[in-house]
Amino acid sequence: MFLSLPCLLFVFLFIVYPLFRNVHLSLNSYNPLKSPETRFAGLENYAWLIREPAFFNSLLITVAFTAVSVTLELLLGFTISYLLSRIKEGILARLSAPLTSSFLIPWVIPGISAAVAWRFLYHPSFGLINALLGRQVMWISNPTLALFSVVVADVWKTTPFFVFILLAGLLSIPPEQYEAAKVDGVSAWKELWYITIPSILPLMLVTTGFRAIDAFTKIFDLVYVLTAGGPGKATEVLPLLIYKTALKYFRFGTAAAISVVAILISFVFGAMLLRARRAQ
Amino acid sequence: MKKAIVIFLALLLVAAFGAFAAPNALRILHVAGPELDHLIANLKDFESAFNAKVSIDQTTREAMAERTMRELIEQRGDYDVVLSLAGDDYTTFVYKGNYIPIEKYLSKQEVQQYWGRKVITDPRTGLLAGIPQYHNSEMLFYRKDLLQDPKEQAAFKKKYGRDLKVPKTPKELYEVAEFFTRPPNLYGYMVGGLEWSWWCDYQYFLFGQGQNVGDKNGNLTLNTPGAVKAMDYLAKIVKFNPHGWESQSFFDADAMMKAGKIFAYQNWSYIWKDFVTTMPDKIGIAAPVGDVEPGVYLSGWLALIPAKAENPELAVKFLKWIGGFDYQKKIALDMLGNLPSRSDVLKNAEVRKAIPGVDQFERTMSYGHVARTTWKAEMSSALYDAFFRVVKGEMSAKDALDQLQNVKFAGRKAIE
Repeated sequence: MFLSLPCLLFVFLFIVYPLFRNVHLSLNSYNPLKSPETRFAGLENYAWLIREPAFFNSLLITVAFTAVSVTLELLLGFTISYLLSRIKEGILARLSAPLTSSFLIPWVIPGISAAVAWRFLYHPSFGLINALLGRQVMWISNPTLALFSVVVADVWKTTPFFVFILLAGLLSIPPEQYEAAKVDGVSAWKELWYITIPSILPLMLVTTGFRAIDAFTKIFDLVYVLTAGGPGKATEVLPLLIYKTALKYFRFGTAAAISVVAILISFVFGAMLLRARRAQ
Repeated sequence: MKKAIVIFLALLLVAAFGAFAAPNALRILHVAGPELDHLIANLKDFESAFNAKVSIDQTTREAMAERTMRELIEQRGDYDVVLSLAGDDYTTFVYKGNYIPIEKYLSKQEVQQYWGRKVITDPRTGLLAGIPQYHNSEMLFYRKDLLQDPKEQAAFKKKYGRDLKVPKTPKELYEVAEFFTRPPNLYGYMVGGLEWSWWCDYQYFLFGQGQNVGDKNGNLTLNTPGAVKAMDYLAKIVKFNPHGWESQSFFDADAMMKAGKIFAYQNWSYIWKDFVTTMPDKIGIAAPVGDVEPGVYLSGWLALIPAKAENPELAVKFLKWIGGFDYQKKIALDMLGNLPSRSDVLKNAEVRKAIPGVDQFERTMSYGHVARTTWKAEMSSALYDAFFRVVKGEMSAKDALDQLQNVKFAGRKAIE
């Protein structure tokens, strides 16, 4: 008990207390531009959220972003890690270490730098993507395409997270299973479906769950630089709305309420993940 | 080795404490950028004149409103001078901030020199709140080489039945923009579509109709006939924008103008120095357009002394120095495009000679406005959303602004 005190203190100071303060703030009204006093507001801030179209717009956009982004990252990440795990001979085997390491590059580039680079790539007149396509596509100016463009940039940035975790899982599958399958004349497709995927399914679930929570609650820097939430409100994700509500509109109670809702939704993701793990 | 490190750390601690404990220490909050660089380059004049030690905290533009709020509203007492107020925030902090008005320490003649004083006077006391490090406003920048081309003039006259000249009204601007829209190489006009950039353009058109988001009594005036007209003009002129404007800003417009891709746009005057030095034969400058008056949005970093400043006497001296003739002349000469905040500096022969188009700047000086609201960020976000609905044809400008005035912001005042 005594030895776990530092850990408990850390959890209390950096997780429990801020969470408590946030919930407390969400039940109060504090707008320093209107009044220096904090007033108890009860569920007023939450009632405002229910009536506010901007909140539902942000929520919908963030859910859509999370669903599409994480799904693409999982599929792409698994495909890449599977192919990397199969490199056993030939010239590619000699290059497998640098090849694998090269997938780390998008992950280690700071988010803001990546966002600025993608902004240049997406430029309608001077961007490389349109230059290669020979067309002027409005990647971040068209309200329909803008969110898709953010997803593409995010998938590029975060797929390595899946690649490396799933690769570790794939490489730890006992080779005897594949040898036995070979002896039985099992096809590569059946190997994948009956041996590989079931072996790493728990890892896939955990990784997807973590990434979903991450995408839902932390997508900010990419959107802020690429589109600033526009055009209009087409890409105004929840973290951006929280930022604007707190630090631009100075409606701290309302911002806290939005963030509490975001945390609760994240808890739901986490609970679903645990349930899936238990069922698996 | 250990002993050396301990002694070094101890000396560092003493030096740091010494700096902060210095009786003539001044702590300033400013915004990163060329104006701060200019201040830092000239600070030694102030420090040697008053035997002072100045420390400056830089903030980014994204964080400046929040940090200013902490100092002027929540009264944290971290700074003696807050220099992080732009035109966007003048109303909020001049009307609601807790600060020491500088007018108490100036003569009447000195106060009269600050030509932008109508937007930086505290209505609670009637006193000048602070001193602007400089002023800037937007101007209309246009391709004067194309405007003066005889072939273009003849073609324009044939199409519109009038002479091709520098537009003064939104209607004239619309016709000129339409005439010079020749995709993909040239577009008639550009509005930056990112919210913080779009807000500037909205203000230009709004002020040009003699309107504001709030009236003199602090009532919300989002849907006056003039405001509807302004929104309408803005929503219509974007069809002459280059592709991709929705995700671009006035900085992108600067680049497009330099690349010869747009005919005209309205932007802050900082860019004038670039045009004068790199493209003097191509770019002209004029007062912004407006049906009622030139739509002039006034800005410039404003220095205020927080009520909880630890060294208010030195802060007053600093404001007098930064607003004094010498520094104001320096900034006018060094930073072409930013105007001095003093009228007497602008009358100086050397300064007038150094500013090409100074007569155009002078046309704008008496018209400078800022948004008359204390909740600009929330308001601009809603107006921005409404604007895009109008552009997409989902609703008319009148319906969009009526919805904001009568439904979304029903019961609210512009000054709260």
